[in-house]
Amino acid sequence: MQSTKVISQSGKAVHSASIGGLVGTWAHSSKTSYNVYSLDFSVPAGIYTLTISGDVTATSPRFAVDTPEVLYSGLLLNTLFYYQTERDGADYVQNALRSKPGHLKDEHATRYQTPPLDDNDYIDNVPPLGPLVKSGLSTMDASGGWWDAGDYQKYVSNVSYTAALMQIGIRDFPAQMGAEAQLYPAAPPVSVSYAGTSGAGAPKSSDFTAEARFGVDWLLKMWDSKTKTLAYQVDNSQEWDYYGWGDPTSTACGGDYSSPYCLITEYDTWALPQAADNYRQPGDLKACDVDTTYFICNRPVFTTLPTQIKLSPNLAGRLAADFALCATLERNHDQARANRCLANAETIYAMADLTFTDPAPSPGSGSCSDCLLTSMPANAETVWDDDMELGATELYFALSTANASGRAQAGLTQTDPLVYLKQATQFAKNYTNNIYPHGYGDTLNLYDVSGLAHFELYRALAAAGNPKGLAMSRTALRKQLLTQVDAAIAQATSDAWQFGEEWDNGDVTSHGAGLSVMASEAYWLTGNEKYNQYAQRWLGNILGANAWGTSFIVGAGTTFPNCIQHQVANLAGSLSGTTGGTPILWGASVEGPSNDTSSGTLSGMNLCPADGSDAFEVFNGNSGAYSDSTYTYYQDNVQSYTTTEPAIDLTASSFLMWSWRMAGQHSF
Amino acid sequence: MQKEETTMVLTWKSFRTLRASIPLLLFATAPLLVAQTAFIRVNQAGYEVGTTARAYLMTTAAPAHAKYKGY
Repeated sequence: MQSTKVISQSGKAVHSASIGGLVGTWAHSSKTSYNVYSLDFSVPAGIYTLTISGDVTATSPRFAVDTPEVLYSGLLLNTLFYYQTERDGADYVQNALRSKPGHLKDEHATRYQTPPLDDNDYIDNVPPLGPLVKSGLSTMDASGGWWDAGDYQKYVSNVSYTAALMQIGIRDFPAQMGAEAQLYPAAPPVSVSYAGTSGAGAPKSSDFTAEARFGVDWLLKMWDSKTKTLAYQVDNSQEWDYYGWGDPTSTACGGDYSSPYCLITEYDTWALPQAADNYRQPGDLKACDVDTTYFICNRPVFTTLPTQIKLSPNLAGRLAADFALCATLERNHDQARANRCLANAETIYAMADLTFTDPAPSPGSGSCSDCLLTSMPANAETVWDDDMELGATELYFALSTANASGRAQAGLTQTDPLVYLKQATQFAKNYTNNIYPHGYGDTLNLYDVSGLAHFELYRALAAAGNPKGLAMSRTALRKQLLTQVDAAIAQATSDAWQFGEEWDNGDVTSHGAGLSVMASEAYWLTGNEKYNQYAQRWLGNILGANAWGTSFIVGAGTTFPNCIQHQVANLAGSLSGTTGGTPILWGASVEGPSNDTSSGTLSGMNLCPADGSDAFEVFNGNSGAYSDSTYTYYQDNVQSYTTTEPAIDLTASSFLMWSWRMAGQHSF
Repeated sequence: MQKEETTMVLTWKSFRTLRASIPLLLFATAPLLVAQTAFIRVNQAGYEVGTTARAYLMTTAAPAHAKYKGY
């Protein structure tokens, strides 16, 4: 009979249980398939190792069983370290990975029109037009903000998502992410290293208050309230057809256009952030050469124009949510800032262009005039009712808070918060009827915030006394949110690892943490233990309970990414974090498993692993019978951005996940 | 305070265990030549005390008593 025993180091058994049933299979190839069995156990707090003996032998990594506070407090602090390390501009945090500020020239950035892109997504401004066309707006201060990922670009799209989740976390979980967060929490049990003990500049607690302000500060810069224009991106990654290497038909830089230009882009460099302001390419006579590296030093800002009287509703909704949350959080701390945030939130929300189809067209390659505005080139976002639902809901909270304080400023567009509440229910209904049933929905991540917006709106309706006559009732919202979580559970029942998302869908880490957040919300709403169970199970899936046996969050667990595609981590950090090397980019969530790996090197990149080996290749595969179409890869290699690049949006759902597990309920 | 470290041993005995015992003995002197066929996957961040924790056994072998379990 199969059995499980827990024994102490002295050999005394303390627990016994049977091996569970076959959960599913994981096909590595048409010839090799793994059977996956569940191993359930319940033991007191402690540090354990699982060992199977018999004709099948295996040993697990060491792991802890303990309270959520013990398990997750240090991991949440790691997450704050990650965001602090991502800081651009003069207000950077000098820490174990950062020694100098980056991109100070962003303080006087030129604003450009969105350039046309050809079918290869190369910038296609045709001479005599210059490489980029100026917007006619003055220069602006675009400094600060977080870099998006392993490169140094900055997007309102991604910062707005991150800042919204961060502020919600501070508001809802003050003892985890706010001012009441524990000082100097202990290192996570069994951790290899810890940001909290990384020396000068290490976070003292997981209080994200200053970090959220830092993010909102940058968003406030990007919104020009005088011209009512939105600078939506800093820096460029796209090659030029006529001024760079974009023309694929020619081996000459600039293609058939004879010019001295040979401009490079963000994706052509691999350096620390402080190098950019005086970047000099090997072979160039000078730094910041107008023909080559000009836009590395003088990073372009892409903006909407004053003639565009409406804003893409995805960005309008999320930005409105950001500024409304800022108003709520600052109301009792900084009245002027709260008032400025609330005024901006109302203005931007009112400018949302609701004539976009929802879902909007999927951006392929090249310019797309009827796609949502996200970045240049566009990312995959197509759905926006969720963003407007979130924006309207947070405006309800912000205006209610302002009214309750008796200090709402004059001149607001709306003074009755119920106006926003009513609109929020309409956006929620649109999502429920037009998006979700037709397969356009997603679990909580950058491209779909409904998993958070529905929960926020549910609580707003409760706060308002559940008014009648709205497009959706609280009961209907609760039902919709549970429907979305239950769909993930249904997916989990067909997966060998009981994950709520298909492994090859991309952004696995972000989705896994988002799923855990949604399940925690569902548990709070229902008290149904299955949701509590899945909140932990999906958390576990991205932290080692997967085919590859690795965590996808740097510094979490004992096997985690060593070779992330991140310039600072690669150039200033250790590439052997799992064997104790420090510093590392603690807290960063990487892409994780994907339907493909990627390769390619840049001058200056430290190859990692040095020998190019792939320890995880043997675990690549798919759930169920072997299938080319769902086959999933994970490779810990600096070249493989599809699996190892971290990002601010990918990491954002993790701080809410940790906080939910520790707090169990929100405080707002 | 440092917690006592314990080892959870999952023993799996089956009819196949007996059949497999002889070849295992034969290869016992050269374990590095045998490719690992079983792996235990755990939540490396740890498990919350007071709940039923779930780890996974991943193996190309087929334990004799394993049955598919519906959920």
